[in-house]
Amino acid sequence: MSEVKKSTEQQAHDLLEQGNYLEAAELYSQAAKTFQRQDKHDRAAICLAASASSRALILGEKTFHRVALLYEEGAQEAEISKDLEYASMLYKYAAIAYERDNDNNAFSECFFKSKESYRKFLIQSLSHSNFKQWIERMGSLFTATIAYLLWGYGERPHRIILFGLVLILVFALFYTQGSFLSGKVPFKPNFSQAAYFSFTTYTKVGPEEVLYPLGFNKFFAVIEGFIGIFTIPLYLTGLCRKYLRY
Amino acid sequence: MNIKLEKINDITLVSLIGELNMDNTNRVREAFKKILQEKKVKVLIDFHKVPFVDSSGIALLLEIVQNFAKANGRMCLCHVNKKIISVFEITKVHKMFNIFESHEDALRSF
Repeated sequence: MSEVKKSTEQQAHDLLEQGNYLEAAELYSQAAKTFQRQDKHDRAAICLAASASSRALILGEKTFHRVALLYEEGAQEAEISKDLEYASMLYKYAAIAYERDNDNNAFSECFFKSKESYRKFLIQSLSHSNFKQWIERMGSLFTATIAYLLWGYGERPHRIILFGLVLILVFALFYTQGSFLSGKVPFKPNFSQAAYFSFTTYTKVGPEEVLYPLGFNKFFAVIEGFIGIFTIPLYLTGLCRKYLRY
Repeated sequence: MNIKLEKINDITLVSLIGELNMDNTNRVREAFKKILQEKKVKVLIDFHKVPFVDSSGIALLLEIVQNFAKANGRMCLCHVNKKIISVFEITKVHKMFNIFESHEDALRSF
């Protein structure tokens, strides 16, 4: 049994060297299926990646759909075998192949999974890092987690709207604890007044009302406005990035 | 598959002789486990006499790279022939290994 599998891979590679890319791809796929049946997911991932790369080499290849599917399947196998760094790389190649095939939804999904697998790999690798590596990886993990939560690495821009709504409500609650100055009269806002102020501060949208935050509310308004300046353009960038592909 | 170990300063040079395939991955895995147990975390693998690596060999190399990274060590490969380089490239693992043309280049990188 092992002889058969060994020679299948070697035969596939010999075919590849002779330029018989399609036959090589088929043999690598066969080997991958055998390994999948035997629950050897690490080896299945490697053979699927080889099959995908062999197909991509076919001269005059018009569609990269099959190539992308094979890379994606390889990435899923790598995920099962807990090799998240390899999974991330194969998802990236799947995304590139889908993009070449103008399958934008699949590109988006694989790009997201590539980034997410890498983020999980960073989490996994923290436990066995020395101090310098730990600092570097923690920095990368922090950035990746913010990108994941805020806009799904650019592929889920609508998350920013949700984030914005939560932020507006949370800051509105803070504002109700402090007071404002309207004209020369200080007053404690109710929730709807605070929510309105919070909305206009975050989005910089809406008719201007002369309300001056007092005390801690000044500090909260600056923080909220600052977050708004960065997240709203991020939403527009994500939206443009996504829709310009279509 | 024969495995020869040599020491160059604090680096362990592992020369593999023969194909790295599923018939011998367990032996190689054990050899590297032993190296790690002895706290030797800098390893250079010489592929000069390795004619071919199959998917079990690649899976093993990925495992070894990860194990050395976990131990805050480093693993490099040298004298890898064109056929194996092409296997690494076709399976997209080439960026996960530190590959050098000669011993000297690899040793300088540690």
